Amino acid sequence: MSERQVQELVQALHAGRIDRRGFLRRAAVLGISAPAAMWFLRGAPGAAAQDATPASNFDWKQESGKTIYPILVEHPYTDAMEPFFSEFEDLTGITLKYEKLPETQFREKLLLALSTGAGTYDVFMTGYIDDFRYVGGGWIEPLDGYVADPALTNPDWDFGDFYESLIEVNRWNGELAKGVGEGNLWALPVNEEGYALFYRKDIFEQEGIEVPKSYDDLLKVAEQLHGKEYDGQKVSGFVARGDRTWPSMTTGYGTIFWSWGAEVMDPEAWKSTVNSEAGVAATDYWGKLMKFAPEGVSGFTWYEAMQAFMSGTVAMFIDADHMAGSFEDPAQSKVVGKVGYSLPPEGPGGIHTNIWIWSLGLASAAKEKNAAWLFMQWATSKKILADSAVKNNINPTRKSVATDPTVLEYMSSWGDYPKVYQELIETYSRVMVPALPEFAQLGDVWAKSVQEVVLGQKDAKTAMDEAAAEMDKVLATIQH
Amino acid sequence: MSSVQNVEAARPTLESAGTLRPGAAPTRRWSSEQRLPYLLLVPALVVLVGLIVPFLIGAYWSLTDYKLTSSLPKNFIGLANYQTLLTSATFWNSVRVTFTYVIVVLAIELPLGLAVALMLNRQNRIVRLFRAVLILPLMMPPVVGALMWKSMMTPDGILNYLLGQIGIGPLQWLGSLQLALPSILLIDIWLYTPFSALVLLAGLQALPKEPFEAAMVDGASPWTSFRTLTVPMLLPFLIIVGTFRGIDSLKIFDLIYATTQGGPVDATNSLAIQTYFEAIRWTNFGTAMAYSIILWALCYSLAFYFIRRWRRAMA
Repeated sequence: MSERQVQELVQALHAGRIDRRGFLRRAAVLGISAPAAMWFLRGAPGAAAQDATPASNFDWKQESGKTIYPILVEHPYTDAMEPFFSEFEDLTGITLKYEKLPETQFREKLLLALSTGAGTYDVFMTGYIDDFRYVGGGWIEPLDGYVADPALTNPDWDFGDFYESLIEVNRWNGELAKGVGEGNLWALPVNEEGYALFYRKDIFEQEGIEVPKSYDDLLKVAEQLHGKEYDGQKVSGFVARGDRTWPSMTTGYGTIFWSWGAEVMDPEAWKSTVNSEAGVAATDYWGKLMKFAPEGVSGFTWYEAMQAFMSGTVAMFIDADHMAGSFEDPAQSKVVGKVGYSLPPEGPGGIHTNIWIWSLGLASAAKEKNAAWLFMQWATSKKILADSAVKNNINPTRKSVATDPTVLEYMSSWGDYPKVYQELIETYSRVMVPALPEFAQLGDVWAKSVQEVVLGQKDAKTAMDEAAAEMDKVLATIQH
Repeated sequence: MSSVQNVEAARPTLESAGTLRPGAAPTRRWSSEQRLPYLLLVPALVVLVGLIVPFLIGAYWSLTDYKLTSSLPKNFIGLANYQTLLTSATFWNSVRVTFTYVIVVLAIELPLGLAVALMLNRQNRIVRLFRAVLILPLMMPPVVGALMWKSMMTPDGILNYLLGQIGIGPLQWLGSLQLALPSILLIDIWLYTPFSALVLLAGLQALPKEPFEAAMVDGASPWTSFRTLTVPMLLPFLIIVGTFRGIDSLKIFDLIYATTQGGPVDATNSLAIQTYFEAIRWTNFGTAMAYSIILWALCYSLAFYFIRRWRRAMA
């Protein structure tokens, strides 16, 4: 291949003589893999500018000279976007002064900063569970007005390209314990996760085991594999998050809880329903399943659980589907190419998983809202999201990114992954937690009782009755 | 006498100097000498206000239903927060965890520190080396120390490996309900026994020699002279160590946060950790302040008790 030929191809693409698919096909003929071809496409002079400043006469310079202060989480999305910040500054003339923190510290710092109303940060990463609090405090700006304003929003940004179901997750009308999907839009989605079953293909093949389709099967497989050695490593049957905070409830445990048909609360009676028959049965099952988890699982957050699975010492794992990007990364993982991806098994109530979406929100107290909105637009543009997707910022929140050949190529060696995550988005992953600013407290209280079951301190019925009583006390303090 | 006379003599001069300036009538009443004591008080007043105002605000919040994420105005609810606490199992569990922590810390770090101090209370090269080594844990930030131990205490960590060599375990150091608190106490003892040893060593070296020589002449056994001389004379130092370690342990947060965050379940959920959950994770500032005020009262009483003992010991 010659560089000239590639250049000609890139020019042909930009001139509209060929489409992206055609470009990749022709590049392949020249012996260039899809990621390399996309690198040419993005790296080539003029290519980036072409994507960011298209033919329309949208005025990117309208807020030139302003300074904005975003606060971001340490996350593949942020990492992928960071190198392009200077491009944004050149494009708009806006200065970016941003902070980047690990998730826990990020939440604490942001919450306190927002509560002072001082406008310390203009733009921040958020998710709908955080939004419940920020809306309650009046700290987050509704975005529909910005989206609809042609002076502020570039038509090429293409709002309609976001998955409608994800936009709905970020809408809430403020009605306590309901009203998600209605009312104002509070944030723009940049990363989506549903909850999938990961299993070790190599072990399953060796033992002649089928992927569990029911929770009975899952338990049997966990028991069968627990304590056996594979590749010189003793494996545990199953792992999930098990620490005493709410994210343990909304991920592995939650997938089982909701698939049993249980609910966190009854919004009409304003009572917790974690001790319903289904809730108790699911928790009882969870206690049995977690017997086959690694020791110390009661301290596991997503990080420890993911590390355990990537070190090759666990046979099955239910958690955020997009961990696939880490599992398949040889720099981090010992199980590259050995992981199978599947929908979680079907419970008595079907398959239900929660959903999480990292998004960008705008602070009500922001000093430079228009400049901040320009940043949000840029940071959720097709170009930035497509580029970050192949750097492990999955799952995509834009249809065009999900179908981008480079992104498909990036996931192509991950077996059933693309199909599984798409099915989760389309059919199974929904907002399952009640829309309440107090969800963090409810979830933490609940998680403690679930730990008591896992540690064998109490039976599921007693623990869930106590959890429900404690949660009811919290609910009673809420004016609704 | 002479200095008083000097002051008396100087005053009229200063005052007359003030009247000499035209239009200086107000400064006459506030001569620089009269102003001086108040000026000197200003820094102390600033500090006092800086301490008391936040404290009073916090105390007031503990009487309200203040929730950070609520846009509704906060209401004065009297002692309702305290009432809720006193009837809550979580609160009493935290009290139990905190008191257990304080008692174990005092019961181990004081005698152990004293034993180490006694061993180091002599002059030779090995002792000097040990004194240098002893300070090492003290120079480590507690969170770093805790994380270091946390990695040693993982199920396949070095501690379980070593125990495995002698046929014990594996133990679930931080993961089990029974062992989590003792494991954190182990870290505390490792971190802070050097502090108690160093203070007690300084105390030992300040003791007069004569009573010990007299006791030796009278044929007292080392144990008798330790019991009847060393301990009583060292009491003020023991009380100082007890006060510091006692108050620090009542407020224990960093070691627990870095290792178990209060878990599993509530096994290591100290008052300070529960306060953190209420305030920072759940934004219930009213309840969190009630926790803080109770914690403050406990620290204050402990300090008050120890300082009274210390005064008596000094007298």
